[in-house]
Amino acid sequence: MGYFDLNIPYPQPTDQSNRTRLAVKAMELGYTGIAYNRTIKGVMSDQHRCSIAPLTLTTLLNVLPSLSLSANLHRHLLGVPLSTPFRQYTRLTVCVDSPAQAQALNSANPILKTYDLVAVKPSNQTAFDLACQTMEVDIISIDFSAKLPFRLKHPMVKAATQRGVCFEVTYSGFFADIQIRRQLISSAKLLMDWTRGQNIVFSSAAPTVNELRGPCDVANLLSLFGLSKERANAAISKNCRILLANSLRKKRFYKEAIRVEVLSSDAASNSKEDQYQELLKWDPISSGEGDILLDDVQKSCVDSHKASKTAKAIDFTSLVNSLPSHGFEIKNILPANNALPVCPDNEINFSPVAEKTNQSTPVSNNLTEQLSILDVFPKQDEKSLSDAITRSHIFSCDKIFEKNIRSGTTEAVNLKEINIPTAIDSVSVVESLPSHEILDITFPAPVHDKHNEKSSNVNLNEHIGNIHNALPNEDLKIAEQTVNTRISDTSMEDKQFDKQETDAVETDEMQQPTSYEMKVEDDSTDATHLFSEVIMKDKKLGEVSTDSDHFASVRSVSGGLRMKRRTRRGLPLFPFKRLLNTMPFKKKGKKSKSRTKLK
Amino acid sequence: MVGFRNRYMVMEVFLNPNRDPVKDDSVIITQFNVSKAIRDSILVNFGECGLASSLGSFQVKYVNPITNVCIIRASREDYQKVWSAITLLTNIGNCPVMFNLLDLSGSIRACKNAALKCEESKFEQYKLIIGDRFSADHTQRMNTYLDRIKVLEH
Repeated sequence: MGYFDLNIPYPQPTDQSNRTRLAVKAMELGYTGIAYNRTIKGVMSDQHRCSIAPLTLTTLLNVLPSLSLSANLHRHLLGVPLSTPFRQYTRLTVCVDSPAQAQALNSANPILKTYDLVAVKPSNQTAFDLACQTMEVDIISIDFSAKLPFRLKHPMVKAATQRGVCFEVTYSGFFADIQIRRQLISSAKLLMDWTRGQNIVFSSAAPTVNELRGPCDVANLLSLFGLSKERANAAISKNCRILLANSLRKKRFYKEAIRVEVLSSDAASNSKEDQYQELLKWDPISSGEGDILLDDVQKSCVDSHKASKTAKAIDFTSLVNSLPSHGFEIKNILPANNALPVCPDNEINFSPVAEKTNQSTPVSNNLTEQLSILDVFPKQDEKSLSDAITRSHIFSCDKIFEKNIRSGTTEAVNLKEINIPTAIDSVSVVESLPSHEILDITFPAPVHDKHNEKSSNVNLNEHIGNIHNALPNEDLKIAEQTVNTRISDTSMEDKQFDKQETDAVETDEMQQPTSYEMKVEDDSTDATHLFSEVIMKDKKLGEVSTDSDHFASVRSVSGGLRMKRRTRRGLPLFPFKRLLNTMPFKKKGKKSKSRTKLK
Repeated sequence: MVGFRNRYMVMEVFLNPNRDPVKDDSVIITQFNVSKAIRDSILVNFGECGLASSLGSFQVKYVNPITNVCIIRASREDYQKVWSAITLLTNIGNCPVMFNLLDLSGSIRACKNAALKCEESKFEQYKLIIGDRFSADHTQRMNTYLDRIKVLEH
């Protein structure tokens, strides 16, 4: 969870040096986002359009060359992922005196739309009442350092909270004067008591760098107001983030549509891949050009990826032949180990899994591209994406699909018996690259032996044929699963049957057999790669592993976020699978169990 | 069991944050400086009784003037007050300062580990800032300070 400071004053006689220094300090102290605040009084005119340019990394580095080192240290101490971009937002504060001025503050005002956040500063009772009840603003900012010209009324505050408007308290008054300090605490304490920290945003209105403080210190200052530590922490992180997400959504998107794009007239698969890539990179609180990714942070991230090893990591590198790496994503994903723990919520990181999968199979460039694109999938929540994936999968393996349908139950059995996460299967499948002939022949054979065998090792050699057979099935299933759920050993069967499940994967188990299997597969099979199959498998593997990656990361993110992901993944990839699967819904319960087991 | 429960705070001090970081005409922090400044801050913000109750366990254990890292001990009951007072500090002597908490721990051992890690990182930054003027003497002094951390007792 990042820390935000939503009130960095943007002085009118453009004193850029001060703003730069403030931004540098904020970034150094570990904040993940700041908002430049411009204050206007009176009537809004066209000249008040947003003209605040975000600062670039070079300008920041000029002021302080050791910025990245310092930022890294602080982020590490705060627990913020190192590769979180530093965001810069723009904010407008309108001082309102009368109802006439208040009318200008509605959602149709074009000038307001140019800013990310809109705040109102009421200066009398009527303005305050209007602000709480009707004004379309994000923040109500009250200057507590002076004696309040109006009274705070509890029902008004309640009305504002219910609408989703946040109250802002600034702490620069603490450093000004002891009289002001006294006034600040006594005035704001009432508001704090009523709201108990919900819908409160605490920010500095720091005129100079001396008045800025680090996130931990700021949270502690809130204890002076009588807030508990959790609420205090939320006031500078979670509340800000929710506020930003809501306001950005209202400004940029229309109702529920997140993005409207014109479809290019390229070949269907290509454009889809591009779309997926873009969608996966969508950042709900991105500030557009204002996002700064510390290059050194990135590099150190990649390095740490290479260096760190965790139990959950799949040691793909040792198993797979090196794939011709293609592009940024694949290179970064290389060691699967690294990706998982370090940067859970970063777009950069999800690609590592894909890269692993790339490495697992000798794939041409096309394949890797597709893989990288597909790796992004796990992050995707939209059903449309899963549909698209489904479609693309179907598109690439029509023949196999038909075969699968024909095989029907047998394939389900095969998968079940193998008892390896489909990711692993897909990997092995990719390696083996069975020809279709093998598929038909070996189909019935493996069905019987593999029942309930948990160790992939044992199965491996025997089931190479099965894997071949299972290949097409796996494609479908893997595709489903990667998009929808986590794979767990026990619930693999369930997965086959119940596409709805969106549960955790026992990634470690998955990974170890995967590596083993891949080794075996390499030895045993002849690399007659059917291109399309390979592509599909790779995709699936990427999806699966990124899924697990993703889920591991999602797990580390707030529970609410995770819940959201769960509900969105209900749509099955392949509608026909329902015909094949006869499991009732109840299987879902199993999955949740295995999920809790995982972490 | 143990009567006194303490909190150890590892803090870094930013001297003169509004000026160019290379210029060093600012005050050099020492245990005495920092301790006096914090005590004054507690007195102003929390009064005589506040100062008296937190004075029992309050001590500045370690200060490193090269990297500006210090370790401050406070009792478990009053550490939040002391911490707020430290945050509200604006200057030591005539030099504007800014304190920032790096780590908070309940035992001296955890505190020492955290402090050593922070010192390493801050020393790297110091080397970057100093650039050419860096010499072996700095490293030696740094090592003496690191040794001092290692022998810290509660």
